Amino acid sequence: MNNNPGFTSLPISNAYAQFLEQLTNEEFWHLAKESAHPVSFGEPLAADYLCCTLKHGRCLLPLKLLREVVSPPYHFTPLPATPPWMLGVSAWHGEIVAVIDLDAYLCNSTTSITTGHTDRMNGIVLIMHCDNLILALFVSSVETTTALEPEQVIPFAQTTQQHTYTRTDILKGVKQATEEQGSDVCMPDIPALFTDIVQHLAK
Amino acid sequence: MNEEEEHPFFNENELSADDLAVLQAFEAIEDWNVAMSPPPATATDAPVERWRLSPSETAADETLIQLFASEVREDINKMCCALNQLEQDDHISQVHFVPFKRAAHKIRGTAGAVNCPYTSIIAQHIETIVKQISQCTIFPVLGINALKKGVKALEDTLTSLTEHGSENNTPLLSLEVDLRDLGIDLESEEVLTTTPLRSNPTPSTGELTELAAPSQRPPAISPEVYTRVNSRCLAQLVRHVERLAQLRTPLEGAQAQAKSALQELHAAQNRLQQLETKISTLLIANKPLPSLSEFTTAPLIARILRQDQHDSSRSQTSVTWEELEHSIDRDFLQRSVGEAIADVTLASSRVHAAFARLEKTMQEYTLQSASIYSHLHLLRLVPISVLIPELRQTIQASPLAQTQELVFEATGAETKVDHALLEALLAPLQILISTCIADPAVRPQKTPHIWLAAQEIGHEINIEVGFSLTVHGGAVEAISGSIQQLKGTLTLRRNNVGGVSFHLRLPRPQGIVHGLLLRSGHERVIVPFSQVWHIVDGKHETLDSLYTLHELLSLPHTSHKESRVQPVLVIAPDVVSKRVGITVDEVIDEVKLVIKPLPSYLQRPGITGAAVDNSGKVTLMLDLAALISHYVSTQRRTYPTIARDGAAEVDEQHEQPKILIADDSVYLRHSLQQELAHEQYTVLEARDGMEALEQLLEHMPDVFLLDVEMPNLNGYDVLQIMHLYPELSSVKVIMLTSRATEKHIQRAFQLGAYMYLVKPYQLETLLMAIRETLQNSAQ
Repeated sequence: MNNNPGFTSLPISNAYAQFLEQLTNEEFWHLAKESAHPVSFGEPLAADYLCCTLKHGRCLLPLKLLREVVSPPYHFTPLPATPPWMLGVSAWHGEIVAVIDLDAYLCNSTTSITTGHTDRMNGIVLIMHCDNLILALFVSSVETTTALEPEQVIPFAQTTQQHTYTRTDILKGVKQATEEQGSDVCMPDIPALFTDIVQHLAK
Repeated sequence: MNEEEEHPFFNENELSADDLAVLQAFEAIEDWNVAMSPPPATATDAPVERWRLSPSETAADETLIQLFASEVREDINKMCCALNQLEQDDHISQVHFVPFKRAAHKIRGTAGAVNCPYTSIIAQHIETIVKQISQCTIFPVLGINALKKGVKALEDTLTSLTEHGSENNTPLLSLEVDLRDLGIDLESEEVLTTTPLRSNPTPSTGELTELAAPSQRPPAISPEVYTRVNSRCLAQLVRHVERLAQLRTPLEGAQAQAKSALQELHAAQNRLQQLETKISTLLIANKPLPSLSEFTTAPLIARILRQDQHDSSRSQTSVTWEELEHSIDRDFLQRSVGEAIADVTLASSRVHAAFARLEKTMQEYTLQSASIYSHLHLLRLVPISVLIPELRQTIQASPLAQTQELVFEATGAETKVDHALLEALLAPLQILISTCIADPAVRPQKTPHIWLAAQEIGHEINIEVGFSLTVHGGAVEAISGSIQQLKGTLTLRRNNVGGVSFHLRLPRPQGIVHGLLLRSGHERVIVPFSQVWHIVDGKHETLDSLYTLHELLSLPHTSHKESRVQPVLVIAPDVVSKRVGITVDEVIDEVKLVIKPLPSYLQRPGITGAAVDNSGKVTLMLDLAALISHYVSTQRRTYPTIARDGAAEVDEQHEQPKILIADDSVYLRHSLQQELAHEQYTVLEARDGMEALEQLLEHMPDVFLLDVEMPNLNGYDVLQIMHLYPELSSVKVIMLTSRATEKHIQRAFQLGAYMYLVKPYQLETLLMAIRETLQNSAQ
């Protein structure tokens, strides 16, 4: 019996279906074996993350909070008096959601995305849902999903590698990369990130 | 006469022995009542005289009264239980109102018997309410509200009876006023009393029966069962419908793609037909087949031809008998092409039919979505009249009402607004009224009038709260926050009876908006028609102020320069005081879009909502006046030393600086006037906040000396209102007040005051402050 909560009773999301489609045969069967592997109730469950590429690094976003992966073309309507890392607002299933350039937010800088030419914009919009709030996070691209055990995440304060991102208060840790993988992958604390973004927007 | 006819409203099996005894007594009384004249429909018809019993009867012992009171109390409790039940149940049926009808019916009869006419009339009113609910002439929610008031009036009257031994008619009078405000027709009560109860038709089980005679029933209103809607579920339903409506975009996309595919199919079919003709001609002429480069159309044909060419090239060295075989192949090729064309034609006709069905479905879908949304929107609407009783109570409870009579009138109360807006509006309106009439010392010459006039203009609700008297200051400051939250604006004008009127402009939070679709740079916005007076080319129009939409929205600058003449929207004169224009890049079209509010953390001044258009883009809806006001105040905060921004065009040709003094103290005004005139200033005076505002708009002073405590508008009110007039942004305000606490000082600076002087002050200090202010303005 498969006890992985991501693959049993919950209906598969469109986003996850898309990820499955993008996997190679080898990756798919590896994932399938992992999913089918029985997990005892006493063990802590691994959480599934989506690895995203940003302009200045990579980050892991929890799949359970991901609602949809939206591909171009986009149209972001600029809203006056918003932080420099906000791209604008967009519509998702009838709801008006704020679109945040995640890289600019983590760097606390101005977005380099020109909203006037969004139809030609390269990048992916991830619709995230947390605490009854929906936000759209703009990332450069998405890679594969990965399952992480809690012990694989190193608290940010204990890392030795230099990071570009200045919003360390929002990062709960990093997953150290192997030499082949390159730089570490940061893990934002999504509830904290949502709260912070909404506070900035509401000012 | 059968048993049902005898008691048409009740199932006797449900009644206790006591109830039956009371009913029998009631019927006996009613017979007597019908034989005599009926009880009056309203409290103003001197009911006591008609219902007064003989002296011997009036001397009935108190035991009877106590018994009656106990019974009525019991009935009131039953009605209270029924009210609680109504509030808890999601589904409201006529059965819910049966306890009210029973109890009121019983009370009406017994009250008459013990010479309690007011109680009887109140009970009669309750019956009328129930009847009007059952006839669908009033909304159930309104009816429940009226029933609550009726039960409360009964309680109050009963309390007066038990405590003082006689009925007080105040609860009845108050109830009648409230019921009329709620739109309940009390005149129909006559039907109740003149129609013998037992002659009514038999009711169906569990339903209320109409008491009106058939000829007097309202025509063409079929009985309906109302359902109380859970607001959260309704909101979810609205969201689902919106999502349904948004499916239109992908559907339209699919439709467009299907249309495009259909056109391609047509083209391929035509090319195939041409190809067939060409191949036939070639084959008949026995010429070699043309090269593949001539046919780059259908892959199927290309493949067949490629195969054929390949076969031909292989057979060039063959013997003559193979030419015969080649000829057969050519025949086969010709037939194959013909079959392919037939297949394509068949497929084309099928696609045509499917496309026609898709178009029809799309039309039905669009109509259905619009219809559902429209009905859902209507569900949320409530007439403003439901606020009137509450406002009347506020007036009655005011200090001024304790000293003199106040007249309150409401017009346009039938105007319907979203229930959420109405709920949010009640408290500010109550605060506005209670603040304005908080001063009991006001002694107007005539009976003071207060009025509420509601009007729907385009996408906005305009509400005027008028006072015929000088009002107490502070109302604007007290409610401006609430009005801003509702995305509304509050302005003041002197009304034609010499008092002041507060004008609230409130955009509807959601619904369909008819407006102009504008472009500024790459972005599109919507402006309701009601805000735009007209559109000019900007060259031949004299305007007091001119802004560009681009700067108002703080949009990023674009390298693209508009080559054509940019249109200028002239803002409607009832929205702003002067002739203000806004330059846009393009007026694209008139549109009707469904507007919804932005999430709270995305709300911005001057942006009242957003629409998702057919292409899935978010289009913001603007409130131009609020947008300009916010822009000007932001500019003032960002560049405080710039006295006159480029937008405000005022007459600067006066020689002496103008100073306006607003203070209710005649002595202070006169003394200051003399001193400042001596210093070569032109001095203007205002006795109160309203007059100050009028002087400000008319004369545009350089410096404004403003007191806080003033009638009509206090100093903070004036500062608040000044934000609505961009042309006043250059006026420097020096507060001149006896309020010296840090809180007051901070508040004044928050609202845009330039300096703060506390009374008593040294004249030299004031003159120095004025000089400094003028110097800074000039720089």
